[in-house]
Amino acid sequence: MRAITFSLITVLLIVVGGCRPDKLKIDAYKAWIDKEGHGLVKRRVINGVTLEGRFLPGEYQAYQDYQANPQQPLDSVLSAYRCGLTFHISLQADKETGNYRNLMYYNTHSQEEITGRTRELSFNASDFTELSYKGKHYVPVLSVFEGYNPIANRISLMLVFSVPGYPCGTDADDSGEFDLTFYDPYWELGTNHFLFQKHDLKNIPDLVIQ
Amino acid sequence: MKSKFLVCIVVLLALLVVLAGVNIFYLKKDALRVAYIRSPELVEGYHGTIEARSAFEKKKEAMLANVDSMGMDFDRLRHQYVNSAARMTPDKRMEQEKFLSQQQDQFLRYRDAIDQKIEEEDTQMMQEVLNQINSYVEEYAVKEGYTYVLGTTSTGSILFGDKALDITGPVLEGLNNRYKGK
Repeated sequence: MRAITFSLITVLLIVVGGCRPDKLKIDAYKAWIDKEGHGLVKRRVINGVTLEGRFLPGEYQAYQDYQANPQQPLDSVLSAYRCGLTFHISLQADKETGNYRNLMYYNTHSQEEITGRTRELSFNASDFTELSYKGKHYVPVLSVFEGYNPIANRISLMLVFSVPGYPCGTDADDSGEFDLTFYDPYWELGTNHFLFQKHDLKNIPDLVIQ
Repeated sequence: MKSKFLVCIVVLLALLVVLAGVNIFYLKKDALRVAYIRSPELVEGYHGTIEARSAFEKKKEAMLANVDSMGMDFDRLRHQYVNSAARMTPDKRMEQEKFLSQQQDQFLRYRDAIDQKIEEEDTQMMQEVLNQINSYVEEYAVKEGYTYVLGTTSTGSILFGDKALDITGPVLEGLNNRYKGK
């Protein structure tokens, strides 16, 4: 009897632990999508540089947009972001030690090179990023170089892809993986793949927007 | 009296067991943990190396194709000159030879520049791959509690290592999983 009770409690704990909440308020939502175990953030460290690939849910982007301009109708904001497949790539390094104390200036020798690097990061993201899904390769339809943050010594890019196999995340097919690839053009960190399961991208709690 | 003695013995034994456990724990904690990796196998088996090398070879082929095409252009010019030199005036011949010499210099400079570029890109490609491998090995060693991870090389820095200390397999597996982005 005791063994059965123990087993039941264990199963219950596993089930409760494995369940995702249906709806979350913004702070809890942010914490949920930030947690690596939920499959929306992939990180690695190479040569002291932390590379991060992150999926940005449409609802979260809509929330940010809506907060910046609450006059617009929430539904239209939500629908504007629902169908995009948006990812965020960032590189961050210690600014006190190591070879990468200034990621923006790393391995540059003139102002022209820095300008060229800024231009490349701003306008040619398709040269060094791509998304693969079920054997097909996609370049970003929109990219935003968010700039260099000298305080954090961080460089970040936002990339939007249009993938036919992801019809606004509403299809029943949960299979497949999205391989976000970053071909490092400047920092000698090589080719970096960030693998996201479609199942994880589609199973995110709803965000309660107030 | 007898039972008191027994209790004392049991308590003493229990204390001894606890002390032995604590000692073993600290001895283990302080012990040096050493492992080794067969470096060439790790580098060659890493998918990052294989893919980077394949991409580099394609790039190299394209660069060398340009050199070949320039070389063929030069050869054609030279043949034209050889075939028609006998019919040329001395001045015209000198002019053509000067032109050919310039073309040859230009071609050789271009070929040298491409060779140098190929070498630079090869070095950079390998450096990028090694950066990834070294960072992962460091992360693996810290996670698994290794004090030293040695690398065998073809020049023989380690002459013998017990197979039980060889962590090439698990490191390569983890490295390839990391490369795939898992």
